[in-house]
Amino acid sequence: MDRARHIRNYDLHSWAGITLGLIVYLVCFSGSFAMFHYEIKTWEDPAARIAVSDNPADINEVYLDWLNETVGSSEIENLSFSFPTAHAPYYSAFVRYHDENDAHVNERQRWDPNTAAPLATPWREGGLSEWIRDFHRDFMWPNILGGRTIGRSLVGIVGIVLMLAILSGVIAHTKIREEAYSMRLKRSQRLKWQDSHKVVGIWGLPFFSMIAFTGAYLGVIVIIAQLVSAIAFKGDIERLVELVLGAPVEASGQQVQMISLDELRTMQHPESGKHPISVNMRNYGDAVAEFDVLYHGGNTLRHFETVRMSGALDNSTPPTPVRQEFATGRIADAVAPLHYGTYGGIWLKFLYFFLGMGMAVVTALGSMMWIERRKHGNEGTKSLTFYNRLGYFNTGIVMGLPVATLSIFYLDKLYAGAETGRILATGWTFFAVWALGLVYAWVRRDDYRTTRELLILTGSLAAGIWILNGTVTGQWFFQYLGAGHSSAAWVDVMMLIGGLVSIAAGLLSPAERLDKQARRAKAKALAEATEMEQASLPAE
Amino acid sequence: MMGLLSIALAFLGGIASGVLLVRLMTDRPRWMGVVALVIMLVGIIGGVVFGFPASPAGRGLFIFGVVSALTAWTVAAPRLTSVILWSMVAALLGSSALAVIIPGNFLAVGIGVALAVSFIWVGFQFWCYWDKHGWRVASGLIAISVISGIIAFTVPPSV
Repeated sequence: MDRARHIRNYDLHSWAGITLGLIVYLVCFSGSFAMFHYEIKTWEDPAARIAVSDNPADINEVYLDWLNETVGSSEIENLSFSFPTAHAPYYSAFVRYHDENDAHVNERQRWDPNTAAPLATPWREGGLSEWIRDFHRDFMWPNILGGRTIGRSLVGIVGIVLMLAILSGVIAHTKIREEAYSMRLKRSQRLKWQDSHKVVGIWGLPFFSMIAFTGAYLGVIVIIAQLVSAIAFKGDIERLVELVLGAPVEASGQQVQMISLDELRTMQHPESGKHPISVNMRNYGDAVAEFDVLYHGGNTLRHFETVRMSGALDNSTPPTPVRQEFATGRIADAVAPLHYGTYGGIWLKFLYFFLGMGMAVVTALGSMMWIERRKHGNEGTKSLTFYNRLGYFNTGIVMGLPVATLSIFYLDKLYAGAETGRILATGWTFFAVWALGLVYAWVRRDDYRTTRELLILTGSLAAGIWILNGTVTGQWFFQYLGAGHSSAAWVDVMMLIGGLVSIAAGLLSPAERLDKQARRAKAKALAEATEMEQASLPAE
Repeated sequence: MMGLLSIALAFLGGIASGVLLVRLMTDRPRWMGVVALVIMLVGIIGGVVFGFPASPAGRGLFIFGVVSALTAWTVAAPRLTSVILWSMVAALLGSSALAVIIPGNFLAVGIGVALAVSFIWVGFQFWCYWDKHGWRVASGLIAISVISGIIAFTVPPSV
C-alpha cells in the first residue's frame, strides 16, 4: 500500500472513531448491560421474584370472562396471550380492538400463575430495565424529534460506522500479528493505551465484527430493507405485505369453540419438546381462527420457534412450524440470537458482557489516543488548552456513563412517585448524573485523576447495590441464591464483584500520572500560563 | 408532461446553480457564499411555503433548492459528501436494483440483499478513501445511484 493511501485510510479510521467514537462507546457500554435486561427486570420488581410451578392454575375460563367483559361485541384487531416464565412469572393478555366510537383501544391484564386471580394494579412499570434495554436499542429517542424509529436507525448507523472503523483499522495496522502480542506495560501511558487498543481490538475482532454487522442489521438495515422492497415494488405496499406475510384470512362469520389456553400451555414443540411462551391469535372465536404459538429458540440460532395451527377445537389440521427454509432466511433468523447471545446460557451472556465492555474500552482508548497525540505529538493544529478541554469532555462522557447507569439502580429502589412517571424520573436522573460527571471532569481539570476517582465511585455504587436491594425489599442475596427465582440475587452478587474489582483497580493505580508526557504537559501548561500572565502585565 | 418538464428544469437548474454557487464561494469574497446559501434556503423554504409536494411551483422550488444544495456540497467536498451521503444513496438504490434483477423467489432474494446492504454501504464508504481521486468516487457513486434508480423504478420484481 502506498504512503498516501495508508494516510488516507488512517485518517478515515481516526475520523470515524473521533466523530462517532463516543456514540459507539455509548452503544457498546449500554449494550453490555442490556444483555441482562431480563435479570434486571426481576431485580427491579420484588413481586416478580416468585418461582413458577410446573403445574400453574388453569386460566382459560378466567381469560374468556375477561375478554368478553373487555371487548364485548367490538372488533378485535390484535390478540395475544403469554404464559408464565421465569422472568415474567404471571399469565398476561393483550387485546387491541375498535370501540363503538371507532377508536383503537389497548387493554392488558395479568393473573397470578398459582391462583389465576387478577394481579392488583398498578403493576410495577419497568423504568430501570426498560431504560437500560431501550437506551441501547434506540436512545429512548423522543417523539418530538421523530420517535423511536429515528433512534433505532441512528443506533444502526453506529453499527455501520463501527464496521467501517474495523475495516479501516485492520488495514491501517500492517503488523497485525506482532501487535496482537505487544503489550509494553513499563512504557508511557500513551503506549499502554495504544497497545491495549490494538491487543483488545485484534483479539476481539471476530466478536466486534459480528456485533457491528448484526447491530447494523437490526437497527438500520431492517428499516432500509423495507424501503428497498417498497422501491422494488414501485410503492405497491399491499402486494409486498401480502408476499411477505401471506394473504390475510377473512373471518367466515361461523362461531366455533377455540382450543383451551390450558391445553396450549402443555403443547410441547414437536422437535425441542419445549413448552410455549406465548400465542398470537387471529380471528379468535371464528371457524378460520389461526394461532401462532411461540417457543424459545433455546440453543439454536433462532430467537423463537413458531408453530402455526388452527384455533378451532375440532379442526384436525396438524400444526406446522413457520420457518424460512431458504439459506438467506436462515442467516437472517440467526442475526438476533447472535446479537443478543440467546443461543447459550448465562455464561455466554457474561462472555458477551466482557467482550462488549472490551469494545467500549477500545473505542474510549481510541478517542483518548487521538487527543493525546495532538496534545503531546505533532499532529495537532490547535492550542493545548483546546485539546485539554476536549480531553475533559471525553473523560466526562466516558467515565460519567457508568456512574449514570448505576445511579438509576438507586433511583429504582428509592423512587416514591407514581408508576406512570417512573420512566421519566429514570431518564432525568440518568442524564443529570451523567452531566454531573461531565462537570466534575471540567472542574477537576485532570483527566487521569478524574478517571481514577470516577472509577472508584462507579465501583462503590456497584458494590452497594446488594445493600440497597436488601434494605428496601428485605431480600438479602445470600438468603435466596439457591431459590428457583435467583436472578435478582445474582444481579447483587455480580454487581458486588464488579464493584470490588473497580474499587481495587482505582485504589491500586498511582494517585497521579507519572510518565514523561504528563510532566511535559504540566511544564507546557505552566509556560503558557506564565506567558499569558506576562502579556497581561502593563509595559514599563 | 408539463409537470415532468418542470421537475427536470428545476433539477437541471439546481445542478447549474449549485456549481455556480461553489465557484462564487471559493473564488469571490465570502459574502457571496452567504448569498449562495440564502438562495438555496429560499428554494427549500419557498418550496414548502408554495405547497410542496402538492403544487407544481412548490415542488419545483423545493427540488431546485435541494439539488442546488447537494450539488454545491458535492462540488465543494466530493470525498466527504460521498462517504456521508452518496454511499448511502448508492447502497440503497443499488440494493433495490439487485432485488429486482436477481431471479428467484423475491422473499429469499430480498432477505439476501438486505443482509448484503451493510457490506455494500461500508464498501462504498471505504472506496471513498481508498481511491486517490475524490471526484472519481463521487461521480461513480452518483452514476451507480442513477443507473440503479432507473432499474429499480422500471423493472418489475420477480415474484
